Amino acid sequence: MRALLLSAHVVAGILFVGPVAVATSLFPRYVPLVEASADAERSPGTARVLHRITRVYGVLAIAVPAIGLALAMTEGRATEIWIVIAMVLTAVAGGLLALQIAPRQQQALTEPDNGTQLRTLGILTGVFNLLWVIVVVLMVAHPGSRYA
Amino acid sequence: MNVLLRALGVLSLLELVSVLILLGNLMTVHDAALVHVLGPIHGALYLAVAVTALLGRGLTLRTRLGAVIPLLSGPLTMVNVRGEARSA
Repeated sequence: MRALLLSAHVVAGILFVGPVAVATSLFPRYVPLVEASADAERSPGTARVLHRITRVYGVLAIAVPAIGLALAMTEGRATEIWIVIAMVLTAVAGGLLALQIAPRQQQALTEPDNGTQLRTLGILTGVFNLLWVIVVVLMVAHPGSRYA
Repeated sequence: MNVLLRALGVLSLLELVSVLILLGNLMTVHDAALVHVLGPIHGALYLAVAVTALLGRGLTLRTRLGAVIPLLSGPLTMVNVRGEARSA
């Protein structure tokens, strides 16, 4: 049971969180601005695909903390400090994605501006990816674990 | 009522239910297995309510602060969500 849950947890992390990290990072580079810009790679079609990947894979990625919580409970270590910190960081990352990044992408698609809103989006996306880096380090290093 | 308020309403209701079951268990049977399962789930729900209220766009300060108070964030947020829906 433990091996099955752990495998599902890791696979979901790679296949669902990975595409979200890539799509959110690329979005500000491909979404059209209000004035026609010199770089031809900005296109509404590409930006819409990236936004769709962000939304769909973002919803699928809920599987990662859900399986992770089940795994921590079966192992009886849901109260270890590294798991609690990782849960808090994951909640913040998920909240950032669902409540800030995805709505701001939608806004950039429907109401394009001169790039100001894309800078905020870029900062939020950077923070989002950084949070996942910290969570993965916690998952590998298990600081404060009874069995480390 | 928009999607954000509806999600916040559902999450805060679930949080309230989980904390009531935990308190009920504390006052009556003291079942350790129940705490073992429901404790982390309640923690996750508390986190979800707090983060949703803190990061959601266009919520009042009152809703945001109420959602981070442990134990009371469930009922407080349920009340605040109704207020937000009325004023919106």
